[in-house]
Amino acid sequence: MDRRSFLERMAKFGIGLEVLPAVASVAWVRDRVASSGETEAAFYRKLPDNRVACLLCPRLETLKPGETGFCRVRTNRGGVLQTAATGRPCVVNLDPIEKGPLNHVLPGTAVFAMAHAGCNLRCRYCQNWQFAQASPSTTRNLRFDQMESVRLVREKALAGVCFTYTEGVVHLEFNLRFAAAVREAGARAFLCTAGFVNRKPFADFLDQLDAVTFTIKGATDRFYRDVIGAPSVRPVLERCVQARQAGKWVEVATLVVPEMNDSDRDLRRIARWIGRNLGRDTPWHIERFMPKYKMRDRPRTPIATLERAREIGREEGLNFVYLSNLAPHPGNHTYCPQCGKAVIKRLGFRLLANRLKHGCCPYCRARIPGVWG
Amino acid sequence: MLAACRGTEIFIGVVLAAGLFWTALGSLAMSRARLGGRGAWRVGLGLLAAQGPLLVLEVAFARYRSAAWNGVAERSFLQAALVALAATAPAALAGGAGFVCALRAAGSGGFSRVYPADAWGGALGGALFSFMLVEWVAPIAVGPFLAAVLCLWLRPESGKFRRVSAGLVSCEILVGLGLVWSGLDRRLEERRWHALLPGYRLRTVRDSRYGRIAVLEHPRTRQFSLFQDGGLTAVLSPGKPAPAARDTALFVLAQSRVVPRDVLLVGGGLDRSPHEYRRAGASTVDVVETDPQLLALALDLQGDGAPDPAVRYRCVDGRRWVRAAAAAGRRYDVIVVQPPAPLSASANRFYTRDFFSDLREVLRHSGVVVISIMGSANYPGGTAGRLSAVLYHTLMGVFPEVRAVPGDRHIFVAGKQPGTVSVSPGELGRRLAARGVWLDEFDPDFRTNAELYFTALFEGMIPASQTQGFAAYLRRSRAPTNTDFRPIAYSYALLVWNQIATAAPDSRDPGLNSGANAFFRRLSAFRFQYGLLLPLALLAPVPLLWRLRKKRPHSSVLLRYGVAAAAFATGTFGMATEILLLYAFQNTFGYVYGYLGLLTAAFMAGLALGATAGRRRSSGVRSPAAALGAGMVLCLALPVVLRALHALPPAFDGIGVPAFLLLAFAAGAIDGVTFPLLAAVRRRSEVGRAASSSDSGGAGIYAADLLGAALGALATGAVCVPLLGIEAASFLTALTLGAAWLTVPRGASPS
Ligand code: SF4
Ligand SMILES: [Zn+2]
Repeated sequence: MDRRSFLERMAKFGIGLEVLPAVASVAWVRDRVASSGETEAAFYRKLPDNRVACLLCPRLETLKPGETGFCRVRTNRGGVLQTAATGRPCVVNLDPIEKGPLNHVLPGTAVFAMAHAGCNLRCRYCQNWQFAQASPSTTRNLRFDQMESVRLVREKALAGVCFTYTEGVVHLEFNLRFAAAVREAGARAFLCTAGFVNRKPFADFLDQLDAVTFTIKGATDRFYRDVIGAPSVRPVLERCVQARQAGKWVEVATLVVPEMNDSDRDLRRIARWIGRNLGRDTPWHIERFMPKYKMRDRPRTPIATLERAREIGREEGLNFVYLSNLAPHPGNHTYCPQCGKAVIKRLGFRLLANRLKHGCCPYCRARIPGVWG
Repeated sequence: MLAACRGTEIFIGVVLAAGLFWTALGSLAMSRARLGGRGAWRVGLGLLAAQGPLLVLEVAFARYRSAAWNGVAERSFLQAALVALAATAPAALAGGAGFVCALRAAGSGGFSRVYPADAWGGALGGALFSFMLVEWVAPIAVGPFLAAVLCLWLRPESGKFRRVSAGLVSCEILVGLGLVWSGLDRRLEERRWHALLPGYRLRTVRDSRYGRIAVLEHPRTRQFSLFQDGGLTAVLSPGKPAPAARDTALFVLAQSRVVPRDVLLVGGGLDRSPHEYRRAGASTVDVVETDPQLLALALDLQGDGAPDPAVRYRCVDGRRWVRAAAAAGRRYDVIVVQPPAPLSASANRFYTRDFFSDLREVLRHSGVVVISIMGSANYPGGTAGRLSAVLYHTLMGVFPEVRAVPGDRHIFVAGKQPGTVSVSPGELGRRLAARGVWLDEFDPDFRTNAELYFTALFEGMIPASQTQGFAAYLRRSRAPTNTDFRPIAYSYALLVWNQIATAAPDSRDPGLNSGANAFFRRLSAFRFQYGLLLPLALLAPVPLLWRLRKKRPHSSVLLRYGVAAAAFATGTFGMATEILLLYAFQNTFGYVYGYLGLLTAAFMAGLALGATAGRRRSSGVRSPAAALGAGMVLCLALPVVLRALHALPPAFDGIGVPAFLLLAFAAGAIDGVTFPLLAAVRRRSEVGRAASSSDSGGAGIYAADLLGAALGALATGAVCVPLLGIEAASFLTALTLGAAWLTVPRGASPS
């Protein structure tokens, strides 16, 4: 992309932002919705004594009547599992697609980023704890009009919808419906997930997705247990492979927390696993930990550690290793694996220049994998 | 205990309340025991000697659980209160019981002799703490020394006990010295940091008047983290780039429409920030940092080459610097305020209308102020939203234009003139490009199109959609103004902190708004009217007791109740005024840790002298009502005096500090004089009864006083001052005294 087309893109995005008052009116003005709405959840089994077994995520909880699941979203109401994520998100934004992070999908476009409250993990550094660690019944939710939102996505030439900020899989019922509506209108649907979900529900979700960013948060079960609040990393890895096998574009992100998951051994394990199971062309985003939530008195990741992680990724043969939330840094750009030249230049999450020609390197014509148009 | 905890005033209140509660319980329990004079000596000496090891254990325990005090790890308010209760129990129980033993040992009329001695002990302890212990002796070694003083004080008359007592005193001193030499304190600190940040190396621990400083080193990358009182204050990577500091500097300097010359950093200048402001085009940077030890450590760790003469470090409290600068005619183009979160009164002072008004005075015509506060990048609501609304409306009360950028820290920019500040990446990019700013690390490909590059940089910092949503939220929100005398941001910040602390990793509760958080949210709606409940509760039993007395004219129950209520109210008054003075002192001078002991010492000295004076007076028939009346007058006058002291320019510190000490002394004296008077009234009512019941009466008064003090500490520190303000808190204290004044017996009437 030359400067002119880049500026055009920027201008387009700028226009997109100008309609924000429209989004804002969806988002912040017509709010204060009554929070009692619930609909019946999918993926559960009825058990004797009005108990239910939730089959959505690997916690596989059995809930007594009146009990709410670990995710704070799904509740057993008299033997029927109900979900509180019924189309009243607590966050709606227009974000650059790179923020996902998704670096190989329609660079420079914007997405309709949204989230309901609630999550089935308990990351101690949760960036969005004010709503991720809360139930949809306690957050400030927005009145959301599906038709209007789809129209907005289309009219403003957004890349599509992105379920992000919280764990989109626990809001599966609504997200599936909305993703289908957005795709029907010719746009795309993306998911940023920790991948802690069961195979069958995820298969259904994948049917309505175009690209998925997985966060593989650490290499070991111990890290998942101590920091993430999940028993094991196994299901996450399985879902990555499942998405890849389903032919979806997959990117992986890892937040590097100093002295917790930053040993060379752990990072190498993740990089090697990605190379072997998802392919060396899978982008790997190394993210910098910043003090937050329960870990707000832990110093941010030293830059040297992040650069070391990038080195390790490259040593393990990964072609696209990014330092995403550290800018400016050479690790923001996409380099052609064949000739080594920078083909997409970024400043953090912002696109500076896209030099790809029909998805190929303009210097050596090598194909750069991704979803480019 | 406080030396070990070093929390905010709320925790000081909690610890004091817990300690007083146990002391009351200890003295009550001992008052029921049947002990003769010799037995009392023996048990008293044992209990007081036990204070040494018990205090050592308590400090060790507090250190071990110290995360509770400053929110490093997840300890909620209630958990902290429980730890305080557990940690203060042994020594406080022993102390309370020891006090009653001393009463017994002193024989009849002992109460009025022992009580002043107790108060003198408190005064000595406070003064010692202020002048010596803070910087010289590790808090863990304090216990044995204090116990040695206590044992000396309870010097028995008979020779055999004297030898035992002398032996105990020398033991305590030896143990204390041993602890000083042993480096146990450092080892405990190391263990604590090892638990909190495994993998990091504790490089330095230092105590200063402003708190405990710890430097941790990341072993492989030479990254240094500076902690003050357990909170992360600065992260230094000598010789490495500091992208966050650089981006903030660019954003801040772009806010000024003219090329900014003079920059003032209030806090947050320990890292590379000042140099980033210089690189981004500032001519001079004044960095204000309160703690000289912290600053020296940070500069030492940075150690980067020749110092830049245009970066001037000032070791002074930020607020005082601003006032002094205003008086000296100094002006700035940009002021960046980066205090710690308003989790204490001293930090809250940097978020108040009073401070912002001072800042206005030192701003140039086109100047801007930038301040940030904890937030949530994508969600404007919740408790953090309420806190940001308070800050927004407080700023709006002083500046004509305020803009906000949401993030993990929300950034607020306020301009002295409308039309100055901007959150448009394009506009900010244009401003910087027009000034020819460019930095080495930027992509040379875009050197010729700096505007585009800066715009992209600012787009990363200012998420457009979130920023618009946040602006709409702030405009629509309604929030009270945060002032020095009503630190409302303080209680909102504590609410956020408590939410984070209570979110249990494995919990499936409805989340952040359940349980204790729901309680605190409700508490944050605390109104003045609710404060009236305490004086009303004190008056409530009176009609009933009156009727009882009518039926049985010889019963002294009404009199006894009046004495107990007066003791309770006096306790509340004493502790409430002490906490009010601590708050106001922090508001005026900005630091209290080192002076905490001094104010307490002045209060205790007043208490001791008052008690001695009261003892003399109590030989005649005197009504304690006069003393209660004096307390009421002091409470009513306090807000006016405190405001006047607050308004004094820094040049008048020579008056300010002694005035505070004098106020503390006066409060102590009123508290102290009431005591023997009440005891005398009670004694006269019991002429002809068994002597032992007189002791239990004294102990009862003591316990009522302590319970009142515990309530006063908690209610004033945790509820009244943050939510209602200093004026309302003083007034409610005066009303509580007023209720006691109505019930207290006028002169003694032997039955
Ligand atoms: S999705 Fe929610 S309710 Fe279902 S098993 Fe997982 S945490 Fe429990
Ligand atoms: Zn190439």
